[in-house]
Amino acid sequence: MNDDSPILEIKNLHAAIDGREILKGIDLTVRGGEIHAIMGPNGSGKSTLAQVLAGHEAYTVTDGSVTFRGHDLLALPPEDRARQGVFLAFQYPLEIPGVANTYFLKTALNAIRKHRGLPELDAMEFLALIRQKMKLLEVDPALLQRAVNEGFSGGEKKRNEILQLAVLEPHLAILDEIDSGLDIDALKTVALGANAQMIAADGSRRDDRAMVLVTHYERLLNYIQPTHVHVLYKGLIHESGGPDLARDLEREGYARFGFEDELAGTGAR
Amino acid sequence: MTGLVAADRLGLEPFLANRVGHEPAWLVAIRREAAARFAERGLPDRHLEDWKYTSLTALGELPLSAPVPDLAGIVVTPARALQAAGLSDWDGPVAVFVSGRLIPDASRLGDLPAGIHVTGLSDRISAPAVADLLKRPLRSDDGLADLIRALAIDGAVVEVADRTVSERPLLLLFLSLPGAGPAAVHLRNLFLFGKQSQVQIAEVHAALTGLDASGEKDARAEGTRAAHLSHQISQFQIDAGAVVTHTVLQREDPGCVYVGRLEAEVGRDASWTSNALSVGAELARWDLHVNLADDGACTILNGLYLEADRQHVDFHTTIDHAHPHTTSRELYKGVLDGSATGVFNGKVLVREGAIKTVAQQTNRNLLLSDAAQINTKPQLEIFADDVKCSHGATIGQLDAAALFYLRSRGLSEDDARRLLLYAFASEVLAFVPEPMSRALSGILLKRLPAQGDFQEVSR
Repeated sequence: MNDDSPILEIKNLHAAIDGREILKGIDLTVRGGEIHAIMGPNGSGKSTLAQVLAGHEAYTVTDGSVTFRGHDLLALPPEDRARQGVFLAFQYPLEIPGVANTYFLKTALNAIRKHRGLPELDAMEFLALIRQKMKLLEVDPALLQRAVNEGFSGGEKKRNEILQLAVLEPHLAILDEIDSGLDIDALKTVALGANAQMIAADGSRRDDRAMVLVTHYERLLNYIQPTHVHVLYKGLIHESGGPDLARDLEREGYARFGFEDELAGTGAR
Repeated sequence: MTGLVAADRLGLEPFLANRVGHEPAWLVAIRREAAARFAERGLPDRHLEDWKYTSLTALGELPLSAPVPDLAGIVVTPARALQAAGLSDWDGPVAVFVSGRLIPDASRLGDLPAGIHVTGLSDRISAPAVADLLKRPLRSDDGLADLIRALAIDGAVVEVADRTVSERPLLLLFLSLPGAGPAAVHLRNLFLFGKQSQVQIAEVHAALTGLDASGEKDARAEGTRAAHLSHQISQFQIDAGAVVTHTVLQREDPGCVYVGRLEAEVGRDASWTSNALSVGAELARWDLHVNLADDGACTILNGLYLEADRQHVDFHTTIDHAHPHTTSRELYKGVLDGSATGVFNGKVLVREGAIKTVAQQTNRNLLLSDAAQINTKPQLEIFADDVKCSHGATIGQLDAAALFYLRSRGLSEDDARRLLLYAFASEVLAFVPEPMSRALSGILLKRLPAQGDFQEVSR
């Protein structure tokens, strides 16, 4: 793989659920160091795209290809995608009663390290790592000892997703509506973690990592600066541009495309 | 007809003749009365409502009478007994019973806390409290209970003096001898807890031989008839203010039919917690009967069953709220794989005048295969006003969304499944006191679809 090859290359992606086509020919290329924002009204297919990339089995890919760092991503089960370096921050993180957060994180990290040929971390090494990450993200250490997401507030769940991102250090981070339901403090924390993911120790932008932000609102983009913005509607990307496009959307709304709130409230994603 | 066959199978006259002179006349009279009753009604069958989903035909022509076990030549050390129970690293007090007979050489009773006494039933019949319990009618009333009253000659007697407080559990091991010992073992265990005592008892029921994991699988797959019956009734008398936790792990060998009945009388402001963990035997039947016999009495019943292949498990619980301000809470959870079948029947009786009763019952089941089955039934009978009673039962599969979430973080599908199964079971394990819970969770984990070390999963 040469340095110019993209981290993610989506070509003519079609995907359906229960026989209903949601994605109708997505093309998207994401290179190292880039942050792509995918915006669009409710029901446009944003979350479907995120779930398909992570390997959710409810969706059927009916056409097209997805190449991730030279691999055929669609051929891999979800766990192998994660081990290759794909991470999806869930819009609605699952509660797993009975499994301590710290155990979950350690198991996930070691599964990925093992796949990459790195030695697994023991309890002490893991604790040192997690403490450092929690300090950076200002996550309450008490969350470690609680069951995964059980009884967490909306903000705590999203912080926990970002903590997982910081620990697992993927090549491609997909953040699905990470800003929904967050107060300004939680949003800042989430942005801090997301931005840290893209910055190397010397302060330069990492060119072996990329990010896809799925969001309904432009607000998030005040905290995480995208390099590219795409507008998704009815399963297709209608317009792509730079950060300016998001500002135009903020000013004019989706009416610019003639489809403001057309699908809002249908519950489809 | 059943009765006639049953009477023949008992071969009772020689047995009774043998008891005369060994034990008091009143006890032999109880045996004769029970034997006559058994001859009338035989083993319970599916015509009885409580046995609708559980058949004892697996017992086949197994000889049910119990010769006094000949344990000569059987050498059991504490280490070997603990190994058979899967608790090799246990260093606390332990009483070992082989075919129901207390084996002092295999036990470690020297370090029992003051105020706790463990003896074998046959050595303790003369004690007034013991004789009193033996004369009292059993709550269980069917042919199996007749067999206990007619045939049980041994078992454990645990007596705890008033105000004895011990944090360290007492471990009782009940070991069967498949192939070598008697085909049927009928035990009667008596537990007497004095006022305001606070103790923990833990039991493991296992085979002394044949614990090899691969052998376990083979024997079950053959679907052979039961090789032996492990049958016991344990009576608990919990005096005022006592707080008792009792944990049983049943991990008998695959040729075993296991019948465990726990009958508790809970006194004023006293509390009895039962943890019943059932993983072994081809058929396991549990009956728990708790009588909340005075104001403020409380019981907490927890159960966990992990079944695979063609195993069958049946939990019948009855809680009798006979007095005001009594409380019960039940949590039974099961995982059934293969073509395993299960039954949960939870009866809660709130008698007239038992105001301010609180009763809560939960039964949750995971079915891992299409062939696995569970019958779950709450049975609430409420004759008092001003009570709070609730029940809930669920039957389902592993949560697909949770599986995807775990896999999206790099866990293999197998690991994700095991983690969710362990998490499901751990809700019950959380009630088992340390250090028993650690040892028991290790045993339970080996029964999950694949092995793993999840000791630290739920902290």
